[in-house]
Amino acid sequence: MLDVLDHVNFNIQKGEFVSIVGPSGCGKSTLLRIISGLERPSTGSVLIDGRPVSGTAQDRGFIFQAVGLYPWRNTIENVEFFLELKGVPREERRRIALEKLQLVGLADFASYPPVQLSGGMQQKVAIARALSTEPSLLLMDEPFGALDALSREKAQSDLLQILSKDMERSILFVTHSIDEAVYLSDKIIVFSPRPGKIRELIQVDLGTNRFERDIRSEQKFSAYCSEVRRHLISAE
Amino acid sequence: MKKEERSGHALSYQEENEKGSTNKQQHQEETIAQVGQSTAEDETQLDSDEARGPASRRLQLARRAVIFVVSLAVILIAWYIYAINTNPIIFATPQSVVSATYFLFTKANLAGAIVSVLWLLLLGFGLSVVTGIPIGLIMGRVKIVDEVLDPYMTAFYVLPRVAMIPLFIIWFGFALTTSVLFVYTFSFFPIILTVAQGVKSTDKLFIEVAKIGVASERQIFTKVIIPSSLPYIFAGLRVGLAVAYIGVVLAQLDLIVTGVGTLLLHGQEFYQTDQILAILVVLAIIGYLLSEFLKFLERRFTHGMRYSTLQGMY
Repeated sequence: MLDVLDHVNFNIQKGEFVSIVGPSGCGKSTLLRIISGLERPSTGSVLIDGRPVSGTAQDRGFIFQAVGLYPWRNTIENVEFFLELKGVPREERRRIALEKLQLVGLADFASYPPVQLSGGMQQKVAIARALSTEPSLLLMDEPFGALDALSREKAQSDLLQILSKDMERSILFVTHSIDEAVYLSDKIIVFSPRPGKIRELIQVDLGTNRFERDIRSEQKFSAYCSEVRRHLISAE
Repeated sequence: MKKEERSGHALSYQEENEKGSTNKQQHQEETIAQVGQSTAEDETQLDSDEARGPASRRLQLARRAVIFVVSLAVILIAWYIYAINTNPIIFATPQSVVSATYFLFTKANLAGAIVSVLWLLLLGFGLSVVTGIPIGLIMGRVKIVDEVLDPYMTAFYVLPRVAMIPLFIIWFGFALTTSVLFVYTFSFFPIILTVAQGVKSTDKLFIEVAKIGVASERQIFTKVIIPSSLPYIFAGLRVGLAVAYIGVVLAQLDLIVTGVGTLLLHGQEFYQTDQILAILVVLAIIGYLLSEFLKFLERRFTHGMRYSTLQGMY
C-alpha cells in the first residue's frame, strides 16, 4: 500500500474555481479520482454537501486529459451519452445536448465525428458532455495538458467564458502549469510531494470575467505567479 | 462526397483501435489542428486519400479493374504455355478447364456440391459465431474466465483438428452432425480469441468515462465495449470464415465424402486434372466472394455505429 495523500482537507464554495498545483506524483490526480468516485480512499472520506461520496454520481462531472470521446458516436451523440445512460427520452436529451453544444460554441459541429475536431474542440465537447447532467462539481484533470501553448491559452479563456454563463458550478482543477492556475482560479491549493499534503492556500483576487482583459500582462498576475512558484519550490 | 467521407472515417476508426489507444490518434489530430477552430473543414481533406471525391474513386476502381484483367491474362497465358508443353493428363489447359466446369455443372451436379458446401459452412460457421462471440466477450471482460479458459482455448486452437476425425466418427457416426461439429472446431477458437482480444484492448478511458456517467455493467458492455471491439469482432469473423471454409472442404474430402469431396476424389481416380482444377477455381471464387461479403458487412456495421440516427438532421 502506497500512501499518496495525507490529511488533505479543504472546502469548495458554490461557484468557486479551485486549482490544485503540485509536483508530478504528489497525488493531485488521485485526489480528483477519489472525489469523483472512480477510486476509493484507503482511509478517510470525501463529503459533498455533508454527504459521504460512495462511487460515481452524475452530480460530479469529470474531464480527463485524454478527453475520451467515443469515436463511434458523432459529436452530439457523445454529448447525449450520460443522459442516455440515465434513460432521458431521445427528444429531451437531444435538446439538452444541443443547448450544451451551443454553450461551448460548437453547435455547428453537432453531426461531426469527434476525430475531425481539433484537440481544443474535442475537450469542449467533453465539457458539454460533463455539463449535460448539471453537476454541481466539475473535476478537471489537466484538461489542456495535451494542447500546444496557443490553443491552451484559448482553451483557458473559453473555459472561463463558458463558466461565466454558468455561475452555480464549482470547479476543481488539477494542473502543472502555474500561470494556468493563476489565470483560472479563485483559490489555488499548492501540494507538497508524495505523500501529498496541502502546503499553501492562495486566494487569487483578479476579479471576474478575466477573459475579457489581457490579464496575463498585468502586474498582479505575475505577482501571483511568483507567489505560487515560491511555495512550489519550497514544497520540494 | 458524403459517402467518400464516410469510408475515410471508418478507416481512421479502425487504425485507432488497432493502436489500442486513442492518445496517439489525438496527438496526430492535434498537430493537424493546431491552427484552431477554423481548420475542422480542412481536416476532412487530410483525413484520407479516399476523401478526395467520386471522380478519383471511379479512377481507383478503373485502375483496379485494369490491373485485374492484365494480371489474369498473364496468368492464363503462362498456364496455357505450360499446359500445352506438359502431358494433358497431368496438367489441363485453361480452355479444357472451362469445358470441364461446364461439364461438371451440367452433368455432375457441381451446383448441388456447392450448395452442400455452403450449407455445411452456414451451419458450422454460424454455430461458432453464435457461441463464440458471447464467450469471447465474457472471456475478455471477466478476468477469471479468461485465466481459466485461455490455456485450453490456445491448445485447441493449435491442435490439428484432423486428428479428431476418428473420435468424431466414433462419437457421432457418419452423419451431418459430425461434419458440422468438425467445421465448428475450426472457426470457434479463432473467433473467441480475437473477440476476447478486442474486449481486452478497449481503452480504459472509454470505460472510465462511462463510469463517470454512472453506467451499469450492462450499459458498459453494450454501449462501450461492444462498439469499441467491433473491428476485432469482424476480424475474428474473417479469420473464422476462412478456416471454417477449409474445414468444410476437409470434411467433404476426408471425413464424410460428399459434395465437392466426391467430385475431387473422382477427378483424382480418373486423372481428370481439368475437373479438379475446375473445382479449385470455383472454390476459390466462392471463398473470395464470401470474404468480400464479410468486408461489405463490416463497412456497413462500423458506419452504422459511427453515424447512427443523425444523418441529415443538422
